[in-house]
Amino acid sequence: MTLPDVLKRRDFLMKLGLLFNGIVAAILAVPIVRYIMSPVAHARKGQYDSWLSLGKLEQFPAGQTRLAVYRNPVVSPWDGDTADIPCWVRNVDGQKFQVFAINCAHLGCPVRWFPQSSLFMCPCHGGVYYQDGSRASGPPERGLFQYHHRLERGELFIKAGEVPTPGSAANLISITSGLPPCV
Amino acid sequence: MRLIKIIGGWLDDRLQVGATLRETAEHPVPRETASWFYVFGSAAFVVFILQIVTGIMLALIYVPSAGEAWNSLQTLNHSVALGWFIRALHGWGSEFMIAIVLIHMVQVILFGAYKYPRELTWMVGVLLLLVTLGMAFTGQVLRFDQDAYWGLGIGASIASRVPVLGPQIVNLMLGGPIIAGATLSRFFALHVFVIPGLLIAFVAVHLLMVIKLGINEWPMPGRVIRKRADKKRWHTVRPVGGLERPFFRRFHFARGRRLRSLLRSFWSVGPSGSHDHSDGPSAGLFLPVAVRCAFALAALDGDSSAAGWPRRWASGSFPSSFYFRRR
Repeated sequence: MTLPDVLKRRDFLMKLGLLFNGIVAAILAVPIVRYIMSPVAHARKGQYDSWLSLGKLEQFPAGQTRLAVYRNPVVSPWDGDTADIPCWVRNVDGQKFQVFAINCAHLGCPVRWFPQSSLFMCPCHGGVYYQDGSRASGPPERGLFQYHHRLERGELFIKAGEVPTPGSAANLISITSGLPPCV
Repeated sequence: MRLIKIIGGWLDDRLQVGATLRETAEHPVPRETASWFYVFGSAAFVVFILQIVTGIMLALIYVPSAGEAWNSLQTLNHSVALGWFIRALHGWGSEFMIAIVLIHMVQVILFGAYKYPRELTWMVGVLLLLVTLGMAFTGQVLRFDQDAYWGLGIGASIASRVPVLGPQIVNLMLGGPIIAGATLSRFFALHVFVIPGLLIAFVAVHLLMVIKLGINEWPMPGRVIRKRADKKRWHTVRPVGGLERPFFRRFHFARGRRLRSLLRSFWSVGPSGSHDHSDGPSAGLFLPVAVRCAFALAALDGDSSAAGWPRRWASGSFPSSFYFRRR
């Protein structure tokens, strides 16, 4: 056997070895990737959002906006206080309700309700919203995030479970009243 | 001493790294590079080592759990001897690291040190800056206080604006639907395993290139770096003229006597020194130390001959400064 033939054989075995290593790597990658992507998979299956009660309607007097706190539906025992999520409940006229996420539509900071001026204001970058949640001024490009809600057996239920962010708010109500949408 | 030599010799016969290390430490560098302007890279590295050490210290107490993180930091602050100090070192160290990395970057820009043949060193340096900022963000999350929580909210809001993949990235970042225990766990893993691993790897590549390519020359007015011409010049200049003064020897032996005398002055008022409390603060000891510190700094700086006299003062011995000027 001549030398080039030997080299060819080595070359072939080298490639075969690489192929086997590649197959093992690909097989191992499947559980690793699925493990890492598990939070995304849960979200895609819609397992995060569920209907939960904010309590009796009497807590929310007509014509007023009050802070409510709910326990997030998906929690782990070591979440501590972070499992409790606040939101703003507006009782428009005793019949109509609006439930706003605490997070500003700009960068998620907690907005605060000021009854004196009937405005929601954000402490971070000066985002301001009217009482119906529509954008008044500041950097947010939209109104407040609004949860779907329903009234049942004298209780207020909302559909919640995921922190609303500008990019992932498709499952929430979008507010179009007020100012025209800014660009 | 002989025993250490024997053991060292036995080890190096097998490890075979002694010659390489010696060569690296004593390799010649341009005369002008013995300047404080070239110190920031090493300074950043020193702070990085400090961060590793204090970070490991903190990990002995800290609990990466959303429900317990804050409480464990209270224990660290109030119930562990000097826990507050180690924590402060780590916190301030992170600020310093970013500051020094930025200063280092400015120096590299001003000196044109990013030019041929060190473009890749610069690129890895940019990665190091990003990784350092990543350490700062993931590190402040670990406190899991209001700052950390709403900071994560801001991070999530920014990430969510990525076209198409935004919501998925948010879930991946938070480890679930909300900022909670899973979020803290993954930021802990990032801060303690993933990013430090990257940082160590990038620092290794960065330093390897500094040693392989040599330190950049002091910039001179009119000396323009042109890749094609400098490729030739660089290869011819490197081994011979213009490059003198063994770096290591200069700093560790020429200055040994000066540093020794400085340390001696410190030692006389240090923890085991004979400081006498009976007659108030001892200005008689404090002043020489302060003066020596001030002049030692001047003596370590630059190479202007006018600064010859403070060197002699600081070292208290003529021959070492003579050695200094002879070269």
